[in-house]
Amino acid sequence: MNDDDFFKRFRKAPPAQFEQALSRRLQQIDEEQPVVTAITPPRYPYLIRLAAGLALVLALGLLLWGLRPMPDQSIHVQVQVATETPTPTPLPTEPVPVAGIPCPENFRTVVIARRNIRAGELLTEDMVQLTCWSETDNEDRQSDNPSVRFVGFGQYKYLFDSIESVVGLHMMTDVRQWSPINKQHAFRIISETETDDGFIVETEHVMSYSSNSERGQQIVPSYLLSEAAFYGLHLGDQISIAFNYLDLDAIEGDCRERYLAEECGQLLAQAITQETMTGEVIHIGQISMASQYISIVTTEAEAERLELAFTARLPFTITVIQPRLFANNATQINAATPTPAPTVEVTPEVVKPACSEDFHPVVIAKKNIRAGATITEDMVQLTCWSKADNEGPENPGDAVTLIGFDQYAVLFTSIDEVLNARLITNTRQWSPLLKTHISQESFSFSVGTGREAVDVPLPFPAFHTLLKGDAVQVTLAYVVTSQIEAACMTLPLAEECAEQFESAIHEEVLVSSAQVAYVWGSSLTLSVLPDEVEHLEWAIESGLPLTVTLIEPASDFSR
Amino acid sequence: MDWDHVYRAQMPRVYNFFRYRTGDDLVAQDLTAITFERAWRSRERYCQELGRVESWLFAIARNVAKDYFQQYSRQPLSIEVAAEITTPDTLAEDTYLQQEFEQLQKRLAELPARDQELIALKYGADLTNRAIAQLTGLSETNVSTLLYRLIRKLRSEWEA
Repeated sequence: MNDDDFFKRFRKAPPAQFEQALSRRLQQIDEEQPVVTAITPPRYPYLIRLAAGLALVLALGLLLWGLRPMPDQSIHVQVQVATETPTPTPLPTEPVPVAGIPCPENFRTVVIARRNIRAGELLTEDMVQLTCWSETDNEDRQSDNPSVRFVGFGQYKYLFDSIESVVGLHMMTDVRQWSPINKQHAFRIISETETDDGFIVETEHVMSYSSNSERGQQIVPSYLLSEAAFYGLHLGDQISIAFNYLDLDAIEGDCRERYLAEECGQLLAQAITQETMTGEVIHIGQISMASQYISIVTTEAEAERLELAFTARLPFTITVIQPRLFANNATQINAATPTPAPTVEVTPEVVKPACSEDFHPVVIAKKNIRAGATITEDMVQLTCWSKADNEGPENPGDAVTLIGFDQYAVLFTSIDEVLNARLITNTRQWSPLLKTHISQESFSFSVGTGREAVDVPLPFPAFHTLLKGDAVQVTLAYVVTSQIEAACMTLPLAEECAEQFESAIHEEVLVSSAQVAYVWGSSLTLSVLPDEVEHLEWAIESGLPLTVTLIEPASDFSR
Repeated sequence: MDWDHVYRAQMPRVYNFFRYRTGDDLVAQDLTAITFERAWRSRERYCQELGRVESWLFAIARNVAKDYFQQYSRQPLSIEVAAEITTPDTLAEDTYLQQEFEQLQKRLAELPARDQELIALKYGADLTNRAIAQLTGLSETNVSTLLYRLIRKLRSEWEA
């Protein structure tokens, strides 16, 4: 009996009674809550037709502006129904009405989470509500009163202002109760749509169209992303895409069959070449929690190589080499920042503000700090943050609510604690410095009983999204080029080439399930089972290119 | 979208996904009902061209399974639970198959949760490796490698 038959023979039809009962139950749901079944009219073909007729990017921009998400047909019909049938008075337990709430001057309407929302959850009306947040505390400028600062999101453009616009989206990250729903962390499940001219992706409710312009643009499937997995990529990020090739002819004898034998390590390392391409992320599209598409701008030559690799479905690694955060007007900060010249006006340092009882001292960034920078006194300052604003549901309607960090345990309370420490992520001006984002070797960590710690170097220091507690997998992936006919190494690829590439891909899972024990600036300490240590250490010592893939992010709620 | 067709085509697959996942027919019925109720309530938001209905349904089913295991603080089918599984179905011709299914469940219980889910998606839900890859976040190659190893392991233990 073959494997399929062997394992599928236990399948059985659901009991007829159950099938009927469930069918009745679904009908009952319809009776309780009439559903408008109008399907959203197809938008892609419409866009394709329009896009095909437009050659100029400017015209396309105007088109995209015109195609901003409009209330879809189903919503429209629902509104009509609502005017015909009086809406029942909401029960006290029902969600806050979705209609806009009047916000005072200088305040904005923001959609926030009514309860903790886990990554992957489908957003429904009862999970969110509207509130008013101060505009002035949220500007990217220094305020006279830095005692209360909005963290994490510098601009309202990342926040939603109506409940309708979030319903039906999924979250890529956990969202804590009373935190805002961030557009960059929400996605709508869509399918890949490919045309002769390029690809269409949807992100942040804006239909975008990427064509093969002279600079070259490619869509990269990101289910193979490693360090940048999941929500690591942002629009504007400069990324590097690396492919591993193995020249089998450079390997002799037994090592062709036994790549992982100890004596073959050096040989294998020499035979593997890593090819890298760089580009800028211009679109991010999501077709499911696990499958994401990005569109990048790169040079024409690189686009061609990328297309070859993409068409052949080669395994690759994407690493963010220059995050979006400071792409424009960057504040360049090097480890050795020169002492300011005497003519430069230096703001007197606030040593320690006297925080009143309800406030807590917090070390925040005085300016944008790039990942990898060594922290000096001129980069940080102490401020006072409200304790009450940061502690859960008792004050959901507050004008200013600190988000993302609910525990002061991860914040620094004294400047001395952070001096000379090295940041492993970018930190925005006026954001707090987090203990989890500091590389400081004196920090202690544990790897768990029965497991061993192994340091895995990262290809680029600094920016990546792996965090302590994440479950990861370490693989060694490469393509055996000598198994591919020369004709298949150039574009356009013949149909049969795809198969050749697929069979030439070798993926060795070195560690199937490790946990990130600690994140350093340029390496990770993984907690690994003893029997997997040997392979991993061998690969590291041999200098083989490893891919660290996020399997399951540690929940933000458990960090 | 012909929802009746979706129901007829997908319900047995969702049901079998839960059977393989939990090893319990009655629990599988409950979880299938929850999955379809959730899907039914939000079906007007599902846009046909934006994704395969199969992926959408199984994304919901996986969440339902996750909630179930979390809510009851159960490991995905512990060895003890697997040993206690009994079903009232004692028809002679089914008994042998049922015993074998129980035996399979005991072996699955010794595997990590992710591997249990892979088996349930592949053989219970009858999904392709590509669909499983999209749902789980693993690469397609990785899914086939993992499944290959799992199957070899399970079959060699079975035949030993």
